[in-house]
Amino acid sequence: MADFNAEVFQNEFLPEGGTEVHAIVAVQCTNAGAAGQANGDAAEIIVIDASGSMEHPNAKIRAARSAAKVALDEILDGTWFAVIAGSNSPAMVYPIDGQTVPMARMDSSTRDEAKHAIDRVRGSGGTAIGSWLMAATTVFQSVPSVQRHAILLTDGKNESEDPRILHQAIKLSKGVFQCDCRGVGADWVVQELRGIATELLGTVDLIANPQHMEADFEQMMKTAMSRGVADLKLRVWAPQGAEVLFVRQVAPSIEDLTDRGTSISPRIQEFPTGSWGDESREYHVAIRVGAKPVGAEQLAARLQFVVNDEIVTQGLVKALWSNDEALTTRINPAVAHYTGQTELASEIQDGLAAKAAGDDVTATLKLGRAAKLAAATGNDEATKRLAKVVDIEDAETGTVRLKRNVEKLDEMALDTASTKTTRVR
Amino acid sequence: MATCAQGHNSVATDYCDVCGEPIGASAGAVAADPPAGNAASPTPPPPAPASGTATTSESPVPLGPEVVCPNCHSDNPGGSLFCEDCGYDFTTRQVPTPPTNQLSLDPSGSDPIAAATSAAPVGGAEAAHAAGWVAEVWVDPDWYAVHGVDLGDPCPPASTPNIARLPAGITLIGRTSKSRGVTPGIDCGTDSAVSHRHAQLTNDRDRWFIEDLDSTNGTYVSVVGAPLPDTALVARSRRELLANERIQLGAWTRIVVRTALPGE
Repeated sequence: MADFNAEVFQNEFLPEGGTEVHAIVAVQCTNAGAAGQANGDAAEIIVIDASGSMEHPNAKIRAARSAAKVALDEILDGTWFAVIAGSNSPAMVYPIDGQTVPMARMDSSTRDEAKHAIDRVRGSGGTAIGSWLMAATTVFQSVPSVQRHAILLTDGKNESEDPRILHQAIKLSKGVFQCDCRGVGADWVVQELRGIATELLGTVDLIANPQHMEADFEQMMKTAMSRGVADLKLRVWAPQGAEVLFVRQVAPSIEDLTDRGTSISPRIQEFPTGSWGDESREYHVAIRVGAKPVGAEQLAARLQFVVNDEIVTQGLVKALWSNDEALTTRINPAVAHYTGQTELASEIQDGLAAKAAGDDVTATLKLGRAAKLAAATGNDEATKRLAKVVDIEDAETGTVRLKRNVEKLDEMALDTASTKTTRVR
Repeated sequence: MATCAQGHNSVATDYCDVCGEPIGASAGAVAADPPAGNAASPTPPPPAPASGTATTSESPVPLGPEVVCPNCHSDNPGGSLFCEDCGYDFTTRQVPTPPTNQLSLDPSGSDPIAAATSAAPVGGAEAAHAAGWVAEVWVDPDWYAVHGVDLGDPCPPASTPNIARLPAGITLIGRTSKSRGVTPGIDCGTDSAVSHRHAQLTNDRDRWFIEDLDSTNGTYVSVVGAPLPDTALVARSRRELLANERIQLGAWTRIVVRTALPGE
């Protein structure tokens, strides 16, 4: 059984009349074990893009084939698995008689068969990601597994189907499986894959060079296989009359959970966080409570982490009204840090969107502000990626100039990585 | 089971399940009351006033002639029996809606109410989504001052907006004309500077687009907080309408597209 430990960072002191309580809760998971061990079966699907563009250059389809095979090596024996090739419509690569037996149990012989089947994948046709997701959902639901994870690889934008189909497919897949999305090359749309990854509790990343695909797939599958906790939920209790302003994962990356909550009682909302391995994640919770007289104390939120309806750890967010300015004006460093990181992510995304729309003034302003925030919060990775898109003249004041000829890949790298945060120093 | 200073029953023994007040401080006095009978009993439980003041005794609450309702924090005239705002009973210290035992944080409990409420909000959210979109049609004196004065009619007084439901698909903006058989989804009524078939709104489920239908006086899009626009949209071309953008047309009409509130 995995062990969880939660720690809350906040300044619980509120000034007279103060109503907003912010807190960071850091959750650490240890002894998670391996996927499918603690709670039944795990299932994996690898979805690779087999559209015509993957053959131009054909290094892409070759890399995808070998990366999928490397990923198969990482899947633990006994895990349900399937491989899907997507183009205008999805096609089962393995199991070969996918119509009758949608998923196979991993062992040395099925692994070899699957690898041979992958070798026969050729690229032709278009890109209809919604239909691929729909197929993955159906395949996943054919076996009684509890922990489902998919890897989705594409090199293009979703151009062979109505965008509403993708929208609908995401909605149907939500809660069925988690999906890590990867885009290879520069012809895919970050926004599109991020939309899928966000809803399906996965990651999104850019594989600029097909040669790096194998290592990336290996890493992704390793991570998925080390996630022994199938589903951890965050329960947020807030007192009568209080309002949960937002619930946001802030480390290792920013994910806004606010709209994903379901009420399980009048004062408790539950947010899915997906599967966990040995890792730590941090959440930023903001609650608005009714102001109380100076000296009063109130519990502003009870944050409980739940596995299979069992509370594994909890953190308390408190509010203490005080008229001591030395106490109430102090901003908790963790709260300040992650507020800055969240702003950094949105400035980068907005700045790039403005740049794409041709609004150079807004883009310069937003990316300048991003450069300033990245420098101030010590996010060197972000600074490095920003420097490929803009010339940073003075990071302290946020003075930047848009570069004339920017590699599309550098822009996409900046966009995909914008939600990755650094931890508090 | 513990009871907090406000009289709520709470499964958690550190902070109250209902209001979040610390329970430990006055636990001795409160725990002496039989919690279940207490909540329903009309007779004031003797130790409650003492425990209530105990938790906030350090705080300089200005009671004076006024009484602050501990439930909703509104001020009430001294000597009030009930809070005028929320109905809190000052004598029995009973909150208006008696808290039930179902407010437990323990999810394993087999209580039907929690189960029922767990399903309800999901349906509610769906319903709100299904409720769709509405357009508010405002009289905008600022717009009139810039664009409407030359167009003739005097501006009617600004009042609350007319609300029009927006169905999925296409909604026409214009003015009703019986002779020409035009009945637009958004009727700009008395603003005669609006063409009968002025513009149309289309949506693709999450986004809205505005398209001018070759109107006489043009369609404009303004951004909240920015100066009013002075270039009209290109006729017959769709433009996405963002959340912070408003449609300006005619002599005094402003249209705001937003998601419908429940019940609209």
